[in-house]
Amino acid sequence: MTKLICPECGTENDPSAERCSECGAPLTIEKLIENSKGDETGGDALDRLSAAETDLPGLLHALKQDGDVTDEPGGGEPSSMDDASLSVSADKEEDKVLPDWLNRIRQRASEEADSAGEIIQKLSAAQENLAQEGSESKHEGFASWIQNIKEEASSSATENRAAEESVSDENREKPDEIPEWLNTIRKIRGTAQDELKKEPSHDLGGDSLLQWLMDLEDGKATSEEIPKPGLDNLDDAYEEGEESAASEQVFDGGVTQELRILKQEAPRLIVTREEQAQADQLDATIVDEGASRVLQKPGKRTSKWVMRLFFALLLIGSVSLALFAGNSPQRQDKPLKPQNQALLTWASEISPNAAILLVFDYQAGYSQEMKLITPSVLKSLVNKLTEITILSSSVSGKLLAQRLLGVFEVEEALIINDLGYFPAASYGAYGLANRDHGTWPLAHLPEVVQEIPADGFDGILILSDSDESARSWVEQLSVLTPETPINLLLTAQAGPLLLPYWESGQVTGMISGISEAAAIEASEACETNISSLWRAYQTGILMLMIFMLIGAFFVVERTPSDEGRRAS
Amino acid sequence: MKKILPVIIATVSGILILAGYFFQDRSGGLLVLLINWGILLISVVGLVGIGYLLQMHIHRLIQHKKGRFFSVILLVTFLITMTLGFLFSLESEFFRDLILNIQIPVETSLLALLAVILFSSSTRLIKTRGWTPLSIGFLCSALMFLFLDLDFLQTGSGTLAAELIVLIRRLPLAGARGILLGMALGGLIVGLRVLLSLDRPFGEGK
Repeated sequence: MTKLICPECGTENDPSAERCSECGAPLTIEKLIENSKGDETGGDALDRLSAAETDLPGLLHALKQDGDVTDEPGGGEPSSMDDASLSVSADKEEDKVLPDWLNRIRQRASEEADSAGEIIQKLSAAQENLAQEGSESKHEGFASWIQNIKEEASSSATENRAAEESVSDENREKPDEIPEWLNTIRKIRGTAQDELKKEPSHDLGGDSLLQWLMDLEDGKATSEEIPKPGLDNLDDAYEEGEESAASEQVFDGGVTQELRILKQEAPRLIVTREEQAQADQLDATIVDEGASRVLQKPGKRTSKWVMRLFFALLLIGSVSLALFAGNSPQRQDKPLKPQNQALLTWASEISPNAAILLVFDYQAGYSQEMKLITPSVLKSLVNKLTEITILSSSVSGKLLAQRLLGVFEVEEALIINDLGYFPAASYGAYGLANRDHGTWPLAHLPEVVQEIPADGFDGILILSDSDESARSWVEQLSVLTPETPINLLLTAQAGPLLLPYWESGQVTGMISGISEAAAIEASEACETNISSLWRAYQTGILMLMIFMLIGAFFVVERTPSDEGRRAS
Repeated sequence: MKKILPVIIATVSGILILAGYFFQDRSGGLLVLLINWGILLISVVGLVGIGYLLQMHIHRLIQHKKGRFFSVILLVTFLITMTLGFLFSLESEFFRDLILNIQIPVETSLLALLAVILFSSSTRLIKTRGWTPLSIGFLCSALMFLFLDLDFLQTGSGTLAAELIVLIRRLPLAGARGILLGMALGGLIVGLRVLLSLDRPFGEGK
């Protein structure tokens, strides 16, 4: 039973199917015509190529068989060698009319040493051998074939004349009765005879087939154009399930299959499946390039810009409203965090003559946050103490210390001993803890390195914005002076990672971030503006959360399924 | 010799510093000496970087390249700051205000810009990836921890809810400590590879 071959994937389908059962490609008439052409040429060639891949003699046999198959409808008059030579000559002619891309593909396949290239090379070698053999026996074979045709034609003419005489006698007796031989010829030739009748230029006297062969031998015959198959006829033929018969009935008369080849002398294009696939891909690319696309509307960018401006103004407005519409701080009975309470307790219980070391280890960008965190502790220290030692481990720490301590109004003059800048990050883990072991001190070693006291402080307060540098200070000072209480005043980003040092007891107390400073302010009802700042911070974070949700739910352009489709 | 010499210097220096941590009584002084040399070298590298920066901007100015206006601003401010730094000391209130009143707003603005960029990146992550388990988890965790940091949830101390909130708030710390441990181990391995001359960041590579 005849199957419809899908032009896209090559799957066999039922003749009545409109779409491919495998890939869903439409089995249109145009596709089927292409497919039928491909089956005539490319499919056979591919099958023979597969055989030729394993065996070169098999390839030669396949090529010879190709000629035999072509000869079968003609009754086997010409030899297989003659047809092979004709096929080779046809191939040479078709090479001239092949498109450039196909020539390039063939050339590349013949040059490369992969499996396809090897097949093509074997095929080319076999064709060359056949061409040589064919050229040697071409004239001889062709002459014998023509001689056979002549003899048959003469004998047929003799028989026909005798038959005509007898038939004319019979027709005289039975004028309305059609002779049997004429019915046979009409039945065999079918529509081709009708079309030939439409050609007034040909001499159709007598037997037209034999007449044409005689003309061909004498060089009088002219190539006739093979009528293209009608789509309706082709469709009907496929519906009948007679593929081979369909091609014969639609294209020409069944017996004139060989004649058709001689008549048209058109190059036969052999297209392999690989070439067909590349051609399909090229065709798809050309179609895709010419396809119409949706242009982005210019108004969309404007709407995005307006949307962003709206959200920015909304954020600034809400934060400003929360900042300036604040209430005066009210005392809350909410308990403070234990680490905050421990630091406040240490600051309140310190003696007036205590020696305190302040380590400034934060960058200038965090000075505003530090300015809000430190007052609750530094104010009590400055009011009690008369002398404070400062040490900077950031580049601008000395300037920041002067600005931070300068805001407090003290009754007595506060003495500040500046130890200068100590590059703790450069010294790393060896910086502080091992300074006493230096036996080869440099003559011009920075003074601060030698003056860091190993003991003598009643407390150390580290102001830091980095958990890494604060960790190195805590770890080294806790080893260097294990009895000295170490306290931390930290920004919000450094606090959480340093909390374990308080839990382990290496740090006496700590305050981190504006939230804890606001809680301390609320517990003490101080007159600072931390509460309003903290409220503005909360409002800003809430607005950002809302914007994030809006952005996530309403601005998503792609989904994973889209990505999957795009990837496929 | 040209290739071997840097390897020998790096390996010997590294081994000496490493030995200084284990035998501090004997090699502590040598350790301090090497560290001070390292700090001096880092300072010199800083000076070289400043010189290269100035050279690049001067070339841009001479060759009339795009952005030369900003190069002019950079060169002028650099010269002013350096001149005032030589004229005034760090104790000068004028010099302190001049530096801090420029440095603090600039650094604060950069931090604010960083916050906005992080927010924008988080939204863009969801926008580009679509609804995947990663993006959903990121969005939920970001919203949850932002909300918890606002201290809107007030629970009594010692209650189950308070313990649960404390537990949840510790989750990012666990992740951060894991990253720090990974960085420490990575640094240790890189140090050993340099000591064993498997990596040559100071030379031509492997």
